Amino acid sequence: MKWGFLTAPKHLVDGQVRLARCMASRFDGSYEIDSWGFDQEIHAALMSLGKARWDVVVDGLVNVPQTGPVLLAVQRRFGLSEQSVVSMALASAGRRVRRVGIPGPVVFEAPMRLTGGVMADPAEVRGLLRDGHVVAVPMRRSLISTSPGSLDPVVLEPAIDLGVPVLPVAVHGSELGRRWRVVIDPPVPPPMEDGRLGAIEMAGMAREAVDAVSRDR
Amino acid sequence: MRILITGMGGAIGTGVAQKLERDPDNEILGVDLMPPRRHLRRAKFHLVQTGDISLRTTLIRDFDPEVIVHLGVYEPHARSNPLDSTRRTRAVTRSVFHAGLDCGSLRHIVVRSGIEVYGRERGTALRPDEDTPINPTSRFGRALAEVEESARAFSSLRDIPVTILRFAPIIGPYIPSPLGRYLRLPVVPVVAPVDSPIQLVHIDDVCDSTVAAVRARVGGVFNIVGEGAVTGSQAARLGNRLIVPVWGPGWQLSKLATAAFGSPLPEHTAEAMRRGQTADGSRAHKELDFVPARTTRECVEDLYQWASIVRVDVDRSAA
Repeated sequence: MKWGFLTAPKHLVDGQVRLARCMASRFDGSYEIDSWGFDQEIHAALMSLGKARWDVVVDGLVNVPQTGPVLLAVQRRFGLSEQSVVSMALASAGRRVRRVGIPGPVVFEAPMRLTGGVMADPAEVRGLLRDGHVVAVPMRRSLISTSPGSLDPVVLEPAIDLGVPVLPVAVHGSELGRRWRVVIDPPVPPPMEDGRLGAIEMAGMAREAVDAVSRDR
Repeated sequence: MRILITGMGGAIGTGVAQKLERDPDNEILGVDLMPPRRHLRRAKFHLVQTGDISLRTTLIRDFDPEVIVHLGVYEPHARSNPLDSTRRTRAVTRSVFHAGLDCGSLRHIVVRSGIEVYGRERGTALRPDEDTPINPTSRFGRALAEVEESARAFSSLRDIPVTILRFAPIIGPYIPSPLGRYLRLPVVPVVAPVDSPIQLVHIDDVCDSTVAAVRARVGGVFNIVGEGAVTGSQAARLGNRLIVPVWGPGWQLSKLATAAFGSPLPEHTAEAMRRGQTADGSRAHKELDFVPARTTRECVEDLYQWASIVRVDVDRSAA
C-alpha cells in the first residue's frame, strides 16, 4: 500500500484492542495454544500492529499453495524485520508462518513460541510440515542484499523426506523504513539425492534462487 | 492368550487387566508390590516385594506368558520417593526380562515409557516425534530410558516385537500423580512471564492404548498424548486456582513450599512446568489405530471435577 501510513493509526488501535483481549483471556485460562506453543490470537494482534509499522508489497503469492505444507527459504540481512514482514505477507493469503530459530537464553523460548517461533530442530520442522503448516527457515545473515547467506541443510531434510515444496523468498527493505517488498519464487526443483546429501544440494539451489531474485530486482 | 501384567497394583495395571479380562480367551496373571486398586473378576494377582526377584521370576516362568505387559514403572513422588521408584523400576524390569528369556511361548512385549525420555535440554525440540534421539534430563526420564534399552536388548536376543508406549504425564481423578497433585493445590506457582505448553493423557486413554497395543501386535515406539496443549498457568486458572508467577531462584523456594503442603515436585514434573513438554502422537493414530478420547484440556477439566468424596457402587455379584 503506497499511503499505508494513513491507515496506521487504525491498525495500531486494532492491534492494541486485540492484545488487551488476549491479556484478559489469560486471567480465566480461556485462550488456546497448540502443542508448539503458538497462540493464534496473539499472532493476529501482532499482525495488526505490524500493519501499523510496515507497508508490505508481495510478488509471487500465487506460488504459495492455499493449503498444505510448504517450506520458505527466507533471505536475511540484519534479521530484525524480515521474518515478521514475511509473516505479514503470508497472512494476507490466510496462511500463518512458523519461524525456525529461537535466539538467546531459555527465558525467550516461550514468548517466541507464542508468535510462531520454533527451535531449529529437524523434529519440530518435520512435525509442522506433517501437520500442513508454512515453515520459514531463515538464511544466515548477509548485509549485502545481492549476496544471500547460506541455509542450514539439517532443517531442510524433513521437507525433502516428505516431498514438501521449498520456495525461495527474497526480502527487500530498510530496517528504519516502512516499505518492504517480498518476492516469492516458484518451488526449487527436488534434489537428485535423498537425505543429507539432498538437503545440501537443496540448500545450494535455494540460495542460488534467492540470489537470482535479488539481482533481478 | 496368556498375558502377564507387571505393575498390576497401579491404576494403569488394574485398568488394563479389567479391560483384557473381558475377553474370555485371555488368561491374566499380575504381579506387583501393591494390591490392585479395583476388583478383578478373573485375573490372578501375586503380591511380590521389590527384592523378591526369585519369586517373581518363578511365577513368570511357570505362567509362560504369550504377551508381557510391563507396567511396573514407578513415577517418582506418585506412590514412592524418587530413590525407591528408580530402584523398584530397575528391579522389576530386570527380573521380567530375565525370566522372559525362558518363556518359550512369548510372542510380544508391551512396555510403558514416557515422553520424559526425550529430555528438555536447552535448544532441543519441544514437540519431538518417535524418531527424535532420546536425551533424558531427569531421574524419571533416565529410568524410562533404561527400561527401553532393556526391552530393545531383549527384543534383539529373542527376536520378539516390542511395543514401547511413551505416555505424556498421566492425569485423571483418583490416580496418584505428582503433576495432578500440584495443579490441585489452592495456589499454584508458575513460570513468569510466560510459561510453555504441556500435553497430558487421561488414565482411561492410557489403558485403552495399552490394550490396543496388545491387540495390534505391532513393534515400535509410539507417543501417546492427548490432542492440544495447555500451559501450567492456564491449567491452574481453568481450575480456578490462584497462580503465583515465579522466576529464577524463586522456583526453588516454591518447590520447597509446595512440598511442605503435601505436593513434592519431582525433577521431571518441574522440568515440564518450567520448559514445557509435548510430543507428536500421529504415529499411534496411523499404526495402532488409536486416537485418545480426551484432549489435554479435557484431562485438566476432569482433574478439577474430582470430588473430595466419591461413593463407589459395590459389585456384589462377585461376592
